[in-house]
Amino acid sequence: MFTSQDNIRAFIERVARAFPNPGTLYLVGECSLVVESVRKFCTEVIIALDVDAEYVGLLTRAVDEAAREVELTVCIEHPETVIPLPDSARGGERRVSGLADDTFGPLRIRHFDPYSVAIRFIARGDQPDYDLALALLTMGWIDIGILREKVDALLDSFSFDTIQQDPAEFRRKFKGLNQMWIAQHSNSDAA
Amino acid sequence: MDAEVLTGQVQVDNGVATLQLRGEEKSIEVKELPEKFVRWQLDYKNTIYDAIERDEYVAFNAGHLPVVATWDEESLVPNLANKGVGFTPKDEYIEHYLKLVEDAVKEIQKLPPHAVNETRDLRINTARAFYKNPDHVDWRRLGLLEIFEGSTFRNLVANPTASVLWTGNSPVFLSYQVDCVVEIMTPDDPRYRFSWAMRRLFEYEPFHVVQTIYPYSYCFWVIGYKDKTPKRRYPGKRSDNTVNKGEGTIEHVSK
Repeated sequence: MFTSQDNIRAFIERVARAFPNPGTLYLVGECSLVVESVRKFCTEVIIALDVDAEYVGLLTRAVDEAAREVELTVCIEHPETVIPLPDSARGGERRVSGLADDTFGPLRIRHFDPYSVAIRFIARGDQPDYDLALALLTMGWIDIGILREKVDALLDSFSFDTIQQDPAEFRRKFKGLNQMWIAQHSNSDAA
Repeated sequence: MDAEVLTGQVQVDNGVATLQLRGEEKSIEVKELPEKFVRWQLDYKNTIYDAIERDEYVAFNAGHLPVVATWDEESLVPNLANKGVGFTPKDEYIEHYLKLVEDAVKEIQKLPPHAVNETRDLRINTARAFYKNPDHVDWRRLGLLEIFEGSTFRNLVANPTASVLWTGNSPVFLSYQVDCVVEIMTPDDPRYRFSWAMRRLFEYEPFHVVQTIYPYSYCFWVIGYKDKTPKRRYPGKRSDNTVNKGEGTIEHVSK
């Protein structure tokens, strides 16, 4: 039910051991917060993979086996398969604190671009998704002004087909996030 | 009413609750609350503890103050009341956490009740120490304290079943109905003592109406739940259950 930093690290170590090839494993969403010690646990581990076509099967198997061994439910999902992503999706990745590039051999571990992550999860709009976006804002990984600009730039491409919901529903959710951030900020300012 | 009769109305053994309903003995399986709800509870508590830590205004505590519905056989309509609801440790951990919380209460009682600033760190750290180990919480049961011995109490004596409805904040409005059978407990029960001590940690914060009399507490054993979080309804569908998980597809493959 609850996945800790140790669980995620054990999972990554096993994947890297079984997949000694170049590629990138992206942490997407809450699991990034756990790995960075911002949260103690998460309830879902979502990852995205970037690897040469010839290695897809091998890496997927390595992920499945590692997840089974560590008893984690891991979902492989590239945010691009869910919603159109902002221009920062490529190149906006973040390094994992304290991890050298060769810690896990040729397999790189990165946090997925946090702007893409915030927009993708606000599109889903469950309670933990807002908490995730607020955490990314609080950590300074994303800035509310830049996030608004990125969403504005994307709105034309948002349709029922591309985000599987009425774009007006997305706008409602995003406005909700803005209001939550302002409320949280005004509380902090008053303290 | 005799305390032994009251406390014996509902018995839970090996995950099965046994109770008398309309003169018949019923056995009902007890269930653990779902992950989505548990997660919301833990996150909500964290934000409340953060606010108390910063001595901020707490307008409402939706995670802690759901509506509780009770009724007796004769009732035309249920009785509804907002009640403070918390959780208790699993039986194997209750001694440990009871000592932790009761020791903290002993410490804060050395100072006058209004010395909330001086005791804040101890109180918050104690509450956080319990909820930071979610695996130690018994998510099959809720803990409530009885104060007034009014309609809720009378209904539960006549009919030890209840429904609880939580509704969270905008924009999600996470909402759950949880159905329960209710065990009444006297002050010697460790679960009563735990609920009382947890309440005492925050008794004198502005968001609590100070109470000193709790004749009973309740253990609400979960027997069912429904996710009532509002979703947009689209033609031909019951909800917009979309943008969930990609379920294993890797679309992005570098060349």
